Amino acid sequence: MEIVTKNWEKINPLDINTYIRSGGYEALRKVIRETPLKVVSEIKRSGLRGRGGGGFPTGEKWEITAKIEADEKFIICNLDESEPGVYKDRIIAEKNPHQIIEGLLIGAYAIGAKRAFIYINGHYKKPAEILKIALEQAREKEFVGRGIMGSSIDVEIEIFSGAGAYICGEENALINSIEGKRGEPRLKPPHPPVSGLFGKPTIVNNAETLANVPYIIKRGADVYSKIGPSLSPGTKLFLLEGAVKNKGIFEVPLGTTAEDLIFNSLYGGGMEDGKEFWFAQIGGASGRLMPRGKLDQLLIYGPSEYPIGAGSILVVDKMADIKDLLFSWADFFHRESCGKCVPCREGTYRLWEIAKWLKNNDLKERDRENIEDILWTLSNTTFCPLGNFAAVAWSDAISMFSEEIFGK
Amino acid sequence: MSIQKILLEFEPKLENLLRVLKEINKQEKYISESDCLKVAGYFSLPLARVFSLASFFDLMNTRPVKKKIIRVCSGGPCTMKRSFEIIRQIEMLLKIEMGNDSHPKVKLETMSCLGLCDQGPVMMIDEQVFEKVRPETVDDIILDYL
Amino acid sequence: MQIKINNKPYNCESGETIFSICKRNGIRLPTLCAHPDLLPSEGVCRMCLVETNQSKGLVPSCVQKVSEGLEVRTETENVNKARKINLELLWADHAGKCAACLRNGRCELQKLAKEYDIDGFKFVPRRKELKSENELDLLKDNWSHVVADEKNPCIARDSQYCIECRRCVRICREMQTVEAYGTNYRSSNTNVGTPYEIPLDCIFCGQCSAVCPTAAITEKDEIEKFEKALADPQKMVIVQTAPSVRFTFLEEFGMPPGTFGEKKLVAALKALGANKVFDTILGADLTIVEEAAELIKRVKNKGVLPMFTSCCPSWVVYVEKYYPEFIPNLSSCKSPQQMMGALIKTHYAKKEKFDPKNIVSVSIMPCTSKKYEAARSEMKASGRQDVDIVLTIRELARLIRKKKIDPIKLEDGKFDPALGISTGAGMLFGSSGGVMEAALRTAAEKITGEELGRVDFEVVRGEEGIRCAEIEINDLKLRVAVVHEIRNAKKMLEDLKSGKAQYDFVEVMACPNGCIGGGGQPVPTSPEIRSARIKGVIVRDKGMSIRKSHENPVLKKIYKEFLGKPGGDKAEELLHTKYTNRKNIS
Repeated sequence: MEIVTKNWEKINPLDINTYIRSGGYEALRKVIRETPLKVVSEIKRSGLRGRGGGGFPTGEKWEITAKIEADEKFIICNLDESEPGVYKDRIIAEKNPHQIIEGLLIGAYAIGAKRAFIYINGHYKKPAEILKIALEQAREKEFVGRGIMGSSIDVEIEIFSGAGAYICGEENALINSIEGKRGEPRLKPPHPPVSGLFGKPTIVNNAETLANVPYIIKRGADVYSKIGPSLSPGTKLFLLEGAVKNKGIFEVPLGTTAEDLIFNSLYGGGMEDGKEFWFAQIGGASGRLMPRGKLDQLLIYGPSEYPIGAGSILVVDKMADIKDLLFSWADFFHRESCGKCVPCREGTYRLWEIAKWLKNNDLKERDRENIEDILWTLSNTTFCPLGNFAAVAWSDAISMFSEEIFGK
Repeated sequence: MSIQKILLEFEPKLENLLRVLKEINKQEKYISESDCLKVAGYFSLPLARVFSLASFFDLMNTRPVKKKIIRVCSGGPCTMKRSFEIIRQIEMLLKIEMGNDSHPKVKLETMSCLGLCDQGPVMMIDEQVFEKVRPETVDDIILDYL
Repeated sequence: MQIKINNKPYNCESGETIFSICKRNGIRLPTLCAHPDLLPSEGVCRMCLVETNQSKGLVPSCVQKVSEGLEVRTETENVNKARKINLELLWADHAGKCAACLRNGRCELQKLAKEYDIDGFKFVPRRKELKSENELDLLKDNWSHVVADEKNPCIARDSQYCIECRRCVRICREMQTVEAYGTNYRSSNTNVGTPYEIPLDCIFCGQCSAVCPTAAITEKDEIEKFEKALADPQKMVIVQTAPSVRFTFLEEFGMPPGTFGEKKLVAALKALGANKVFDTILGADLTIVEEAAELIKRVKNKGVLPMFTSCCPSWVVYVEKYYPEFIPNLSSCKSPQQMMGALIKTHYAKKEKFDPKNIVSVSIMPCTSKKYEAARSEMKASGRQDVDIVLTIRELARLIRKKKIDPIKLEDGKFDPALGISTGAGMLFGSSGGVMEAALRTAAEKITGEELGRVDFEVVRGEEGIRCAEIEINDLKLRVAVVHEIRNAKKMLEDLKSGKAQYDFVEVMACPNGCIGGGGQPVPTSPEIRSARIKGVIVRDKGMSIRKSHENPVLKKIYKEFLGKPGGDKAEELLHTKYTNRKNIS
């Protein structure tokens, strides 16, 4: 099932005409003849959810901002994507940048924003170049800028390049960094759809989410809402990594199981030769560890035992060194903690310190006893969810694989 | 290009503050106190505010980088592709310890995911990115580069 | 509306935070980052987390606003677990250091650590102290670097004690608009400090040291210098005490704020071995007489108006650094401390036949900034620095405790009369509006030539940031303003520049509510505590027999015997000063 990756082999990212010939910008043309609220309602009915990890219903978010009267509103495409194991947005930007741009334009019109940003990961230099050229070509064709396609609608898009901080993928930290502030999360409420960039109503959408919008407009909410489970419709770009035979990006309908993704020859094709499945981390560095017995869980957004996050699936085999993985997780969150609140700033450091000792087989009993407290405080007392994220994989690992980790 | 010229390419609006600092870092390889003062003056902000922003991010340095920095990705996918073996290999080759700053000419660090998981394991030496590095080949890469 | 806290109902308004309601009703909630002078709170320390019925997880009470039907529990198992673990995480870099620490016994973190009975050695220290500036490059093994800054004349910093509560960043930015601090770096390297680790470059008001919960930021400690002088038999140690410190001194020994502790303060200083103890209020009276004369002269001769008071050294430095175009507006009068200092080493020394070389002139101040003022190159009327050592009242209290003296148990002491008579007008200097009121009492009588029936000018008292009034003296309409906190001073200056406001005479104090809220005063501080201190000042002024500066008998004698007349040559030489444009210079 192809929605986001549709026609990629026919499209040259540096030539807008290849996108147009494949049906590109037709959705935009359709949208500017409708009222903004009709567009919002269509996206709402489609059931589209955020593909960056949160899984919040996109249409509901758009509705909040669309209904606010404000002198200025913003929409931001979140292409910061710094989650380990996730690079789908980069691929979308490299293969079909116009799909993101079109989705962004439709979103801007729907909520009433005249200014849009594409916040792109600071390391993504090539994709940023491609997007820049794509924007120029879109501007030439009057898809972007003043008077879109001869109408009275103005939408300006700027690229804003990040400066290297995972936390800036969180919408408030992202907004803060555009405002020239440290990428620290803000107190919620107020939420960005009500008060975001420079205090104005702001929508932050993941690039993959926006890439789905043109399809929904063209084919209709009814069609889209029937793909996959009704509470979490559509397709998702999953990323298979680790000890699986076929690594890479696979677009499948939501509701597919991890079992299917990993072992079906259409997708993962099973484990690499000679490797035995141990567990799969679902979602990224903050993902839960799914053991063999749970592989039949449906991969969906919304309440679920194994949240799919941004869609990364790291397949780990029994020969893998769990201590290296534990260090990998602790190292990442320690480096990326913004440092604002005590439990995360100190807790991620202490977890990293323990991971280091563990990796060097140097962990003392007293420090091992501290692990539970550190994980508890990270899960329960932090300012923002990054603390929770830092504790997820460790908590699962310790409860499921304590013997492999600590021996005895 | 002088710092003045870089500044004049941007209006002194808050959304340009991070952009300006990145430009300066791109050219000068770090943001010195005097450059930071110029930026602060241009945006009418206290120096402490601008430094607070600049020191937060990975892609900006507030001190000159005097060593070669080798970074190896420690993300999940790269770990599964043996990036930690690469680290151990480098430690042995250069007789340094990861994270330790005591060698005068080179430092070995882990780094966060660059979004190149399909090309992993990923390693950087200064600004050069190396993809699909293997413990068997890393010695040659390092020796070539240093 | 009504909410429940620990199962009891409490009244509250919508928009209030749970924390403020608990505080109001005496319900205990720990905090390390919230502060009554820094509202709204940010919720970074996570000490104030509570359980509620409207949320699954723990909720920060300092930011959570109340809502209908809210039920809060402040002492559950999870709440206490959260406090304990987070304190243990913070304590790792503090364990074992209390005995030698300046804030031993008076530290907010230590207090909480004791209360929650935390394990001091659960985690190993992670902040490494650097040995030299070159080592700033060497961040071994991701250890967070530590910066010790001794280069500011008034404030000492040591970031190994910093818990990143950000109070200092906020107060310097929000209350004083200077923003000398920032939150730097990221992750566990996050450190509150100056850009590029430069020495702290500021206006020395010391508010940061007054809000810091630990010993990360303190007043520059000069107790040792004082002890050395006291122990030197060759030296004549002459101490002067500021107007406001007598209302805050006994807070350090358990008494309520605003308690009049002058007699015990003098007694304690004598017990320490000071040779003479004089009252800075005499200097305040001198300041008033000189400043009133200067104001009248400027008004009559169409001199530079408005005239600004100049007894607050932080305010003076602020003008010199940020608004040098207003330097001509500053009164040329020195501050009471410096006027006293000048007199002590000239007139008094000569009269008593002391060699000024052997005088160690010490002042006890509410203020860190006075340390800088005493060292200014202009303050050398006697040929050497007129004031040698400035101690904040916190340092003095520390020394008194070190010597195991209990001031409350001492017999009342009295100022030495030679320079020790005070007036109600001078006493008012302690609080915002006091200098203005004292000046008006003198100026009114000098202009009208008649005695004032009622000496109170309530219109300039109060606690708002900017208070203005029009005072009618004969046919002169004096437009006056009283300002405290630099953010209000900045607004006042901008209004003057834009023409939105016109004044003739403005009193400016950098610290909240004036000197009684000074950066060197006892901590904790809050609007309520300062209010109580102000009450003490007003009550004392009312109860004094002499309430106008120019009626101070010692002052009259000094003019007769030595100074001549206000604004005269001798006065100019000893009691007036000059200022320097310091824009863009640290």
